[in-house]
Amino acid sequence: MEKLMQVLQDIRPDVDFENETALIDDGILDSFDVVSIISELDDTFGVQIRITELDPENFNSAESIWELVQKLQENE
Amino acid sequence: MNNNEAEKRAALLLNYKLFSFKQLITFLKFSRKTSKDLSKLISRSKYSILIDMLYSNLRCGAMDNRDYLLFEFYRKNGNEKNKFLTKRRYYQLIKRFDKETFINLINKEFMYRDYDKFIDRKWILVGSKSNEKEIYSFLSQFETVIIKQISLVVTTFSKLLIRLVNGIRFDLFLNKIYD
Repeated sequence: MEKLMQVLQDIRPDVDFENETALIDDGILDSFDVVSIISELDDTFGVQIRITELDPENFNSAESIWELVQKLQENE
Repeated sequence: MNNNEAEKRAALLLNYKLFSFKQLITFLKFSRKTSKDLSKLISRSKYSILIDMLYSNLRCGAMDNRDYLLFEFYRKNGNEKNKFLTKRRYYQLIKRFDKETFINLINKEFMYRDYDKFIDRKWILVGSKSNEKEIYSFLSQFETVIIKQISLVVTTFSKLLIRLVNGIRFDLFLNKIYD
């Protein structure tokens, strides 16, 4: 989780990832940020996410992104 | 581009159909010519290219010839193609993750002008009224440039893939552009 927070802070240092729970719903992150996050998740955790499988709910908070990473790691 | 035009474009983007029969027919029409020209360039059967283009469209979201040529899909297998953010996938992302107001904003030229200082890099708009001399003079200042919305055209005459933005050629700068 610590590693993920670092990744997210590097991409958007202006966002409070520890407390925000509506990153997509409130428009804090946009499609460009999501592409950057997917790319970094692949580099850092070795997980690949297909764009067709992307669900905005999985990107609403750092916690939900972390759950997605863990789920993908288990499946591989 | 005025505000009304930008809003129309934003609405078009939001309501854009990601797949339709009409779209597929148009795609096949253009692909026929591209596959024919490309087959002379890469020595591969035009039918195999056409099938590959269709596969790339349906499975990998390469909705137009631009994606197929730009990402050199004719040199890649299915797994490699799947790693690219193609046009259909890009639209899927926008529809799912962006707010309508944001889409409206990114289509407006004034945003680049008014927020110039925040962009933190030099930029030039390649519009329909731009001339080659002005653009080339700008490009010559830098070692690396990023070009957005580049188009590729296959020419059998020069056996080249020509890179164009609004009719201006960028082949002379291949060593320094990212597109």
